[in-house]
Amino acid sequence: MREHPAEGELQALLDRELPNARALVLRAHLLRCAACRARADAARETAALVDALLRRTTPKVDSDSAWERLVVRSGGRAATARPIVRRWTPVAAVALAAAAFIATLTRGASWPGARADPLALVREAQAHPASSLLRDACCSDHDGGDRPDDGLLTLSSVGEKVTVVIVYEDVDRSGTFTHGDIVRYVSTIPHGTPVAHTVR
Amino acid sequence: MNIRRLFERHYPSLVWYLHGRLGDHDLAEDLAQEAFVRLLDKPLRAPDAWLYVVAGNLARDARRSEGRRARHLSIASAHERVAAAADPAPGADAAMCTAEEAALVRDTLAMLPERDAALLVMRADDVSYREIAAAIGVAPTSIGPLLARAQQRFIRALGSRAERGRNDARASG
Repeated sequence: MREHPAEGELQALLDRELPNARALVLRAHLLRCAACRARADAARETAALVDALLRRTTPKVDSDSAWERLVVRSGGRAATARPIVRRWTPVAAVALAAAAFIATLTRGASWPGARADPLALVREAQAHPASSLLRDACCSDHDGGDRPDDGLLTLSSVGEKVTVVIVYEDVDRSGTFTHGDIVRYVSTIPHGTPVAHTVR
Repeated sequence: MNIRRLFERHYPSLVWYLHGRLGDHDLAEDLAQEAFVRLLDKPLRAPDAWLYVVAGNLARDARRSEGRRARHLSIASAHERVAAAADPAPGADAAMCTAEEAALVRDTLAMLPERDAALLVMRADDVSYREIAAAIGVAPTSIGPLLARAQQRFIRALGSRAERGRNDARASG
């Protein structure tokens, strides 16, 4: 990478909150750049100090008696309630079908199913960062499930040619595309001509 | 995660966060409980950061209605505590958490913008960037920069308070 990472990105790296591909790029940069290594060390020390101060000064609270008070205050509901996990809605199915239809119109090799192993494509892109650009935007609600738990991963080559688009559900909530995530949609044009239409 | 586990994980930090905003432990406990009651009315898939947002709103309402200020202690007494924390007694265990240290950290947090304080407490409470981002309405990629700035502000505020405390201690001594 040519540019030095900003403080916020270093912070996200330290907190393991960067997408894997970006974290790899930054770590490689830190190996080569002593100045950024020093900045990362300083950021790590600052974060450790703040976290340690906040954690060790958190007062000890009698959680058991506090819980009993909550049960009484809630009329007993706290003792039985569980946070509801919202389910995938029919609206999401319609949205996904629409997305698949639109993608088909763009002549790509659309896929929910086979044809390509998206993880293999990602690994290949990570192995050859000079020849391709991997972007992992996570997370928003791309599948209409009413939850910001979907990622949009794109792979591009020189000349702004987008060759792979993956919509995935970030099951492990890692904030990046990893093994075990659900692939909702894949469109690949590994050997064809990428689409470049003007919207009319 | 069921409500009990969620409660055990976040309740102490929520109380501590609210205590910092309000300067009143009993009121902090009351509002932390209220945040959980509201969660029962609105079960969520990822409620961790949401609890902090609701707690912050409750604290703001409480301050408004009671005419409170976040900084509840007088500057003079705060400086005394800062001086005590800055110059620990010989032989004192530096790793031991003291009431003075807790007060210093809490008062320093109270001096920060509300979002900064919430970010720092949520991060220390291991709430993920994604949840924090969803709760405060920014992109997950914004959390790193916001957090880095909040940490810098916290360290600067802590340093200036400690320095002020030392100066006041010298002046009075």
